[in-house]
Amino acid sequence: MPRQRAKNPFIFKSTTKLVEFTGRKASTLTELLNGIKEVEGSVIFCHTLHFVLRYQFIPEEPRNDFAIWVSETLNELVLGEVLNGIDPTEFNTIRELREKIVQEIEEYLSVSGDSRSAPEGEEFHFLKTNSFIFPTKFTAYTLEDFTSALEQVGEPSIYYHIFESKLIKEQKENDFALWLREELHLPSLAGAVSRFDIFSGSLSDIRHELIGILKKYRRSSIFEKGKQLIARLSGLFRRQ
Amino acid sequence: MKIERYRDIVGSHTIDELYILADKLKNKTIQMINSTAVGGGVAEILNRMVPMMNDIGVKTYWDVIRGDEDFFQATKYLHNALHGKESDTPEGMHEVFLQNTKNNIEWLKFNGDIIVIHDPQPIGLVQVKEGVNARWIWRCHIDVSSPQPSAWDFIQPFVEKYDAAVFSAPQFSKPVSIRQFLVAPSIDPLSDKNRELPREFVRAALEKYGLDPARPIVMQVSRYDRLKDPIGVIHAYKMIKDNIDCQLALVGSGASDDPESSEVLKEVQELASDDPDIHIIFLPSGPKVSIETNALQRGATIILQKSLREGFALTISEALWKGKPVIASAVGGIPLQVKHNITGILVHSVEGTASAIRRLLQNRELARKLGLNGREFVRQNFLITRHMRDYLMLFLIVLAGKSGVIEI
Repeated sequence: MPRQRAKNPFIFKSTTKLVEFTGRKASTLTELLNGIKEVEGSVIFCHTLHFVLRYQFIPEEPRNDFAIWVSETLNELVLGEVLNGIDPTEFNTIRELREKIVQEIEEYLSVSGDSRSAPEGEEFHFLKTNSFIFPTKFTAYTLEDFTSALEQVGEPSIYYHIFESKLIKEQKENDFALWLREELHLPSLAGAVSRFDIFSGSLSDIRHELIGILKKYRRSSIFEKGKQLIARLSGLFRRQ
Repeated sequence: MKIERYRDIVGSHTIDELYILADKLKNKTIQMINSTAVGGGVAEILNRMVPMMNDIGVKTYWDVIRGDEDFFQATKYLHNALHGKESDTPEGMHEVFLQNTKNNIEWLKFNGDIIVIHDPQPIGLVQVKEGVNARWIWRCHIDVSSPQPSAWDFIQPFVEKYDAAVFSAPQFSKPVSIRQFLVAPSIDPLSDKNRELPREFVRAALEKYGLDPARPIVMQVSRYDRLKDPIGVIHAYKMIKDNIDCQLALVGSGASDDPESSEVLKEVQELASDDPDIHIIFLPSGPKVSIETNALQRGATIILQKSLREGFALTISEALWKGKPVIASAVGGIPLQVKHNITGILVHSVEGTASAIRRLLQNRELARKLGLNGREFVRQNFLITRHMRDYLMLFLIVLAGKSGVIEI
């Protein structure tokens, strides 16, 4: 079992959000597109990543407010599916995420045109997120502490470290993977934590999946160490 | 009201968050001001929230404005007109409103670091802002999406004086120059309206009002108001009744002396008279109304809210919290709570309502899943603890004048 102790602990942070109105709304795809191009980054964030937090209990789709509105209000089902397929965690910056959404809507408009309009009262309202980020009481120096904390922190903390901080800090991988790689020097485990499908379930499912990965690693690590120990002991006996 | 009582319901991290945010406000005082201490949704929420704010260490107190009969007539008109109801501005309304506001300014002490003014009745108090060292927030609980222009023109200059305004749904926000925030209302899971009840109690309540607990019950809980479309509900029920065994319950409460309500009730009774499975239930006002409503909601198989216009519709939050599959019109604040095919079914017509009732009565697994999702959605978004958290964040934002990412 890995006994490494990190020099810098993992501090589990959490987040909570307050939504603010921008005063801007859209009735058509073109208006939606123009809005997405022009609004500040916290608006794109609100309708994509913050969406994940709001719907944390849903084990599968949908993934963002744009997809829902396009499908359900404008009844543009094809574009709705395309937008729903955008995984916000694949992008390192809000700018890249925004560009991808813009590109998909522009491509759709160039082929299908903009023929539908939302009924009065069902317009898309551009909202922005104010995010509070704060440390929780959980910190970890070892893999064991880390696993134990992961079992206890709230879902918003899981969301923050898996989905949000990567984009805010423009990192290549999520906070958990980064810490396992850089502080505990466990690259294979970090790789597994970085690669697993975070849209395969709710935040609660993600927690279970992560804990499963960590425990499996610890078990295999114990097994490996056991094998090494047996090999060493066998060598000793042979020499005697 | 102790915050710790909510820990098992909302989870430890939610309560911990409240303490963390509250700690940042420990030297601040919050002053809430509204127009009534009892009756109505605002008084109901403040009665529970103010002690809870103090319990987590945020000094909060609550003042209620005073006014003569003419003032409350004027504010009733203003309230209705902001809701969009057409009527002529009563003569002298503005003068009465302004005079009463002045009277209240004279006796009230504005000691809060944050002053939260609830709804339009006390909105004019902001006139003293220049002489008071505080941040002012206007918390609008009503649907002002389509107000009578004269009513909005009257209050807009007051609104513009505030540091921030708060609305319950995006479509209620207004083109004003101040910052506007979204804070949805909430329900209290420990109140009589929402707390868990023994099965026997639920069964007894159903039987008391003539409902058969062994057969499916489709229910709408709302006052007898045309905007709640009880007639449409009966038509939808009648479209499926021949093929599916079920009962319909229209549960209403409130003032029986409202002439429009009596008229609608009469129409509903006439339309229902040929079917013994339609139950028109009028719960008289009184201390038992909340717990009986709770029991009836818990006894329902499906809950409808086929409104033509809505504010936020807390009856939906209540139904979702009880794990009920909900069918509701896509109006007002309803889409904030009912996400189509996720936390309920959104409909746009009588036919759509009928079809959704049929679908849920025949597909109990779907109904169960929607109910489960709905309860979780309410747990995370529409309980009083979330409401408190939003206020705490709002106070911190308004005090600091910040936006975006705030590390604390």
